[in-house]
Amino acid sequence: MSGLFESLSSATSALDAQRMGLDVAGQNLANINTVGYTRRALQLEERSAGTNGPGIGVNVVGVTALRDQFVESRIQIERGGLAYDQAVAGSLSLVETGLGSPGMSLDAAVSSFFDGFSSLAQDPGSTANRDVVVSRGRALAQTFAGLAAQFSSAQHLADGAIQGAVDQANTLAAQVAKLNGQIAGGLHDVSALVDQRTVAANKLADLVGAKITSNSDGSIIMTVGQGRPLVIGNTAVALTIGQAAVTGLATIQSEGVDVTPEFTSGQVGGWLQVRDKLVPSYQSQLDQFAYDVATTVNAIHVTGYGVGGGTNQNFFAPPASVAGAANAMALDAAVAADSSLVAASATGTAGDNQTATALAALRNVSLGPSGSSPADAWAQLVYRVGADSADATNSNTTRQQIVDQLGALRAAVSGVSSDEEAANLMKFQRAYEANARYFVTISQTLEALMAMVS
Amino acid sequence: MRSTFDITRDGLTAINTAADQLAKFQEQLATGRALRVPSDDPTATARAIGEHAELSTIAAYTKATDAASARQAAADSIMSDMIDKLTAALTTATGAGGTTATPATRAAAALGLQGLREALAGDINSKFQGNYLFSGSQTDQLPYVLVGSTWTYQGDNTEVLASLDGGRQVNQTWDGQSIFQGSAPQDVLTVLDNLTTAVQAGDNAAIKDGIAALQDAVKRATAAQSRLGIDEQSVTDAQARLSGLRLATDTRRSKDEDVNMADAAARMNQAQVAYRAALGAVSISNQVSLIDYLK
Repeated sequence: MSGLFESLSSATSALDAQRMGLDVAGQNLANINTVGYTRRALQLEERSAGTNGPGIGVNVVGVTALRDQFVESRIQIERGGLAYDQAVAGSLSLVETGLGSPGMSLDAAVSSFFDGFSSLAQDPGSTANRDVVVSRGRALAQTFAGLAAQFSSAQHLADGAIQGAVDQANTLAAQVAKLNGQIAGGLHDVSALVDQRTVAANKLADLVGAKITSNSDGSIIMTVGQGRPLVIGNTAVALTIGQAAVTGLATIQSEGVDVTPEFTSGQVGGWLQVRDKLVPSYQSQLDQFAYDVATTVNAIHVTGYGVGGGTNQNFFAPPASVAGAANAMALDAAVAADSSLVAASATGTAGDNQTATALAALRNVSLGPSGSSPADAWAQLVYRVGADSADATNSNTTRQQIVDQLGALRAAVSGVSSDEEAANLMKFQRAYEANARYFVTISQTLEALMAMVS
Repeated sequence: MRSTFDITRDGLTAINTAADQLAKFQEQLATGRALRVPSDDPTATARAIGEHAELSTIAAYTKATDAASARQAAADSIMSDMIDKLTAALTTATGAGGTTATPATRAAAALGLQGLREALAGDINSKFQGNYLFSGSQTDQLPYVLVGSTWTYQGDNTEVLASLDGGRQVNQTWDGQSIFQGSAPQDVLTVLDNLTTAVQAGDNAAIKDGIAALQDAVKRATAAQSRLGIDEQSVTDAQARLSGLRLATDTRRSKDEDVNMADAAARMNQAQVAYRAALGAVSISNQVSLIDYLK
């Protein structure tokens, strides 16, 4: 008698186990599109009968989340690099779009400006030609200032993005800390919490290039920069935003220390690279170019004579320094108001064109200490922006491939396959049916036995 | 290895990559430009900027050369007229000299010389586009004016030059004094006035001196016209050279900047096939699943 009841119990355990198998497959299918979800697998073991007998059913050991910690860690590292490249490439794509096409940007304004002096040299007495020179000089100054404003705008866009990212990072760090606490003290299955924490940690890696160290209690430590704590156990260390004294741009502080230069990964690292290194270097090149044009033109212009015989007149407002020269570039106020002050003559006579000729010839000569002609100076700047952007894009493409490959590796372990889950559904369904049949058989056997004794 | 298909990771990435390529070649074909942004090819972009600057320089030189050519043509024509007038004055003065000339002949010759002097003064004081051609750099001053009974040169000796390519320069204005007087004691207009007086007076010695001075004036004018002819040839050469340079530079620019239509069309077709293939692959991957066989 007792053997048959044990068989019923065995069948019941098997029915429970197979139903749980169906539940696990259902859960996997339910989360097939859930970001960060790690597929679950039902762990079964035989319920042993001891030394004799075939056993008494099946035990559900648990439901395991299938994850490869090495791949997960690698993904987090690469994601920080990918986010960095994406931030740089994205920002530079805006910068380079603002540079315009060859022959239609600052280079065209420079050519047009010197063309004006060339025309003036052909007819130094022409009021119309003088007006054209003034108008083109103004356009050139505005083009320089416009480009400087674009660079400044790119810097401030990156700055705003950095501040937003730091806010987001603090929110995510608090989330990770809270999950850490729940995971470390967890008495139940914490797989779902670990998945949520992985998603949050990945986002932190994207944002600030956060690095992860695992603790034995299941919690993680997250750091940024040179080991600055972001999350320790269930405590989040907030990053704060400060303001640089000179530039007014945001600084990032951790526990009161300025750690801005330590961010070399993640979106924040990328935006800092754009804001603090790349764009300032372009800006500096543009400033030098503007400074060279203004000072070289002025140096010749002051030696010439205007229509009324006046001399020692600047054409551009003299730049105070190289820094900020592009943004501040403007016509000399007197020239802007009176085109007769434009110097074409080197002798003061009406028809002399030597000053205009010398100014027109500047288009092909080296300006300033850089030793570059105006076209070369512009080409060098455009090349640099283009090359930096191309490098970032190429690096981004390569890194994306690595992350995709790692994603595929992760999916091979942790991803949900609808085919596989469909097979599992069939497998557990068939097993359930077989065990139900077994249960019915034992039940009928018991009935027969009971009939014999009643 | 387990293989799972993630439409976002595997499908959309492939579709986006193919769509990006397709869009790139479509834009190239639509705009005719191979370079959309500097990062497409930084080196080619920098080269294209250089070529545009070169084209702009060539255009400026071409404009200067064309202006110089027009000015030289005008000056050449005026100088030819002046030489004709001086030659006519020589002929007239020669006919009025000697013992055979009657008072009536001399009077007619004097009138002829006076007319030629007036016409010559008009030539010398010619303007081109509002500027006097023969007053050096004083282009707003009449070259020669009659102050009382004396002709005065109001210009200066600085000739204005136009810059052509390669550092070559040609005259934009001329030093009238060096052409119409040179190292002679009197300018050509005074010579003509004195010759007229001599013819009227029948002063053969003065007529002879006047003829000699006129011959010198013709030599100076002819020499000036010869120099002008050399300059004109320089300008013609420069125009031809600039035209060739423009073509060569534009060809180089085009190689960097303009799209090879045939190549772009072929690449666009390839990209289109790749795009369709990516769409098809995603679609097929999503069509078949073991779930379809569940009963």
